[in-house]
Amino acid sequence: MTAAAMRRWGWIHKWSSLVCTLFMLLLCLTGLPLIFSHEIDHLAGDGIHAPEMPADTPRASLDAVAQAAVAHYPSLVPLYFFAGEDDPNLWYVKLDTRVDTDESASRLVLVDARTAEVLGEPQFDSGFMSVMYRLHVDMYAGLPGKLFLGAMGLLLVTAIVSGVVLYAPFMRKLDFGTVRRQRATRTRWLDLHNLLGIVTVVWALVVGFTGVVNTWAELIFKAWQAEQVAALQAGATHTVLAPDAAGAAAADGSVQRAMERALLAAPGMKVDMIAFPGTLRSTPTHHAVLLSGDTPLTARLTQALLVDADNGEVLEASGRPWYVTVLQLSEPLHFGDYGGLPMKALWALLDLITIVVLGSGLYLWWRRGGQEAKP
Amino acid sequence: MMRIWAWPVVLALLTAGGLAAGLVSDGLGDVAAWIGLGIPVAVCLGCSLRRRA
Repeated sequence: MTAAAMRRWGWIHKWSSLVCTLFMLLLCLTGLPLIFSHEIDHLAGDGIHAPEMPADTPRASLDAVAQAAVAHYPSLVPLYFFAGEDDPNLWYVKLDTRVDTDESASRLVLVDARTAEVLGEPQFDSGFMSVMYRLHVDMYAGLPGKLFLGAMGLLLVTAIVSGVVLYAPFMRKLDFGTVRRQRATRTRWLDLHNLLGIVTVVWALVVGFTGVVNTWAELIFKAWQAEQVAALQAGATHTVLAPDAAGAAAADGSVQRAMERALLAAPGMKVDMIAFPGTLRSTPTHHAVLLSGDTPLTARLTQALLVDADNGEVLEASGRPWYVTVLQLSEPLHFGDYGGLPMKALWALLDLITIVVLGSGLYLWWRRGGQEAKP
Repeated sequence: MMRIWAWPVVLALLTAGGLAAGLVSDGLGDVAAWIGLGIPVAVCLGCSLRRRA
């Protein structure tokens, strides 16, 4: 590498990191407890559980579940049902003042899927973990906060790439893994910075970039909704279950029936989410039913079916676009929640190593100017 | 070239393989993910905590 090229890459590495480092330190520190949010909730006993009942207890209709949630918040309307991740006997019902709000003031109510009894409200919006979550996701600044952190994430990706380019010239005379302990403190930290940075580079790139993609989630869902509405208007949809399909109970205007018809159209799938017409995840005239399979990959890559609110026709409006696939894969790859507790522990260690890389980078800049920095 | 990049490339492939394995399969895939991510973490700890360079 020529001296001029090296100066250029050095400049890119210095400034992309300097701008984002403090935010990245914040994200690493707040992300650490979030890796274990599930376990922490369990230990703290914050989770709300459905009471024990025989396994074959019949389930209440979704409409009764929605009614119970609305009775709990009479001034609000229901937007979504989310299936309980750990407990299939729970529905999380999300309510807001209108179906088309930005959901910043929305409320979640937990309802027993069998008795349609309100069990309580998950305390996502108070306490230590909620502060960690908000600082990590949007710094209490809503969509602009998310997009800002996403931009910082792009700078991190730039810093990582330029760091990889600079790795070779710095390592020309050194063996892999060398940490020159007998030399000056700055040299020792330079070696550690290079070593830890290069060993964790793929993980940091993946977690950094998938984090950026997650900040775009709302925009991605809006784009998908627009695409679905456009496909509907152009008549370019694919009917999975006709309104008068034999063997299927006819639509009666209920959400329950809409869900039943979607499940009939997609055998072997289970319901993850149901959206009322007019929300971000549906269209103005359809319920949306999000279904997932039972293999690790199809559990993440959901299938979205639209159910006509009037005649019950089940549609698939243009299959899942690539950018939604990217978003859905970005969630597990960012959270590290797909390989049990050992993977979470490794995620935490890699997070701590990243803190050392960030901190040592800051230190190297602060103590810059020494001749030892040159390779 | 080889001397500089051999280990980083091996560790990068292990990490990428581990991240992907856990995603496409449960059970064995999870074990592959622990190994793929565990070796780079072990290298980090080993090299930085080693007494003599």
